[in-house]
Amino acid sequence: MSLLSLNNVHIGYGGIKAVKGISVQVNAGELVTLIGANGAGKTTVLKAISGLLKPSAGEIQYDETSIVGTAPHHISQRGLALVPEGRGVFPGLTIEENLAMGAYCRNDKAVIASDMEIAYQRFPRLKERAKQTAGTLSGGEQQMLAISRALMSRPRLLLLDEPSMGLAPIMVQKIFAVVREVAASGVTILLIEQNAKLALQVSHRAYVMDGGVITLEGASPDLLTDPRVREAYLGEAA
Amino acid sequence: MDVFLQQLINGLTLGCVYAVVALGYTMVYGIIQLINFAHGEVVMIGAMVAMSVILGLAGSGVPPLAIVLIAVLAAIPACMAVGYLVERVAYRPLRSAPRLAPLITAIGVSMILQHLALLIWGRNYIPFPQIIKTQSFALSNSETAATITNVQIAIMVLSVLMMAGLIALVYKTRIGIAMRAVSQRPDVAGLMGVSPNHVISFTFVVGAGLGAIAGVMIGSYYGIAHYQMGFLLGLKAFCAAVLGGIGNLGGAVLGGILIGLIEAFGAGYMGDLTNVCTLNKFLPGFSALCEANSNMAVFGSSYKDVFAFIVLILVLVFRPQGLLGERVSDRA
Repeated sequence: MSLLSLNNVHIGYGGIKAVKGISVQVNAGELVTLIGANGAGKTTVLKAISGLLKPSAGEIQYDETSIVGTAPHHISQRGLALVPEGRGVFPGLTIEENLAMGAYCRNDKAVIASDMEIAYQRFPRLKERAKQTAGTLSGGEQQMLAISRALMSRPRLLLLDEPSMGLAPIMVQKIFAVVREVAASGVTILLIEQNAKLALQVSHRAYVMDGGVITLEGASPDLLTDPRVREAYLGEAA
Repeated sequence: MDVFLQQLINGLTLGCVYAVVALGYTMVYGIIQLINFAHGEVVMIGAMVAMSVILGLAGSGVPPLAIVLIAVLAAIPACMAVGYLVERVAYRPLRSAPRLAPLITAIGVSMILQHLALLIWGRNYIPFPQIIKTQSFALSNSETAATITNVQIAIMVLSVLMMAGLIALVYKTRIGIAMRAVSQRPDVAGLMGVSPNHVISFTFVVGAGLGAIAGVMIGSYYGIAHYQMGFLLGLKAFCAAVLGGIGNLGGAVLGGILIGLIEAFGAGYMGDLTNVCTLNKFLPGFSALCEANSNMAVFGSSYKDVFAFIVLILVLVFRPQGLLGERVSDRA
């Protein structure tokens, strides 16, 4: 069954249509990726799912109920977490406080503390800097924090917006290893990436977006060898 | 020395009140970048409600201390309700409007609240009932010793407790972290499951609660209540918040106390410093005035209200981000 489904969704900013009728399904337990060039409308799709933007037409269902027009905090309370583009850490809050914000909707202090410990084990860098404000972190560290913060809510569906953007290759490897690990632990993930090769390598299924529409979809291993994808997104001659 | 000590005590007392009021300005500014000019009126309503309760209960046999406590406990929820309603009715619909719109609205709300108070409590100065007798304690044995009153001690102790409580709230509690998160990135805070509207309402309510207590304090300090009392007090506290760095809690406390001290020392020494005979020593042309009346001063202590605004102008010119504020690009 699908945990998230977008059906013919249109989204515009003022008069400009950024997304022109896309349909996407994400089934429970899947790692699905949405790839495409800069400006294809990928981030807009994630913003609409998390409630930051309202689609002008179409239907978005999460866990079998429509979430169109629902406020972001209500959507989040239902187990959907977004790691926003540009990481969106709270720069004036400490690492620890950022993580605590991730667990804002949960009440069990003991479990929150143990989840925080898991985050620190996953990224020891964060533990070293637990009392430092997030604004002092490097880009890679902020990405670690943003992902850890999203996981603090124990989401059922995790939306990742360009986690590799602006990071050194070694950091990208580290982040993607964590994405894999989180997916393996049973969290459903919708990943948006410009780095198509990496995204297709970690995901089960993929959608290719261009100019506000889905141009291709299929199993990730198939798309990885698809000549159209290879030419347009992997920088290889077909 | 006695005069100096006396002005220090007076300045600290006033400064504590300004600091508590300034916290209300700075909290709201920190979270929605709005100067809530109606905050001074919330303080006035706190004083008025407390005064009404005290007048109503005086002579009823309830012990004076209990009456004051009941008055404070009545003023707090009254002000909180006003603070909540003002945000809900006047500011929230303008949340995404250009910043000038809510600012002008704030001035409008300030006038509306003043005139509502005028309708309820009338246009006259009302003596704030002194049901707890003011006692002065001399700080030395000399004839001219500086004194501190029980009201001043109560104001300072209460203010310090409230400031400490607020800082603990903002830095140690879940809702406090959420307040700071909303002030930094409201959208992202929403993604964490925080309702920005709830947090903003909460901020107004807490600020108004502090304002209520400040109103009772200033009413009992000056012994008078008036429907316009919040206006000047609010503006001075606003100056204090700007001096400290608006949006910064520590800055509001520092700015409040500094403004209180500057005002007290200014009022205390202005007459001496601008005495015509003193000026005559440095400047030509005052000798005739000095001979005519050696006690005459160019400016008297009634000019005390001007200091906060001189400070405001100096801060805006030389250090617009305030003493503890960080320089931020203008988002207007």
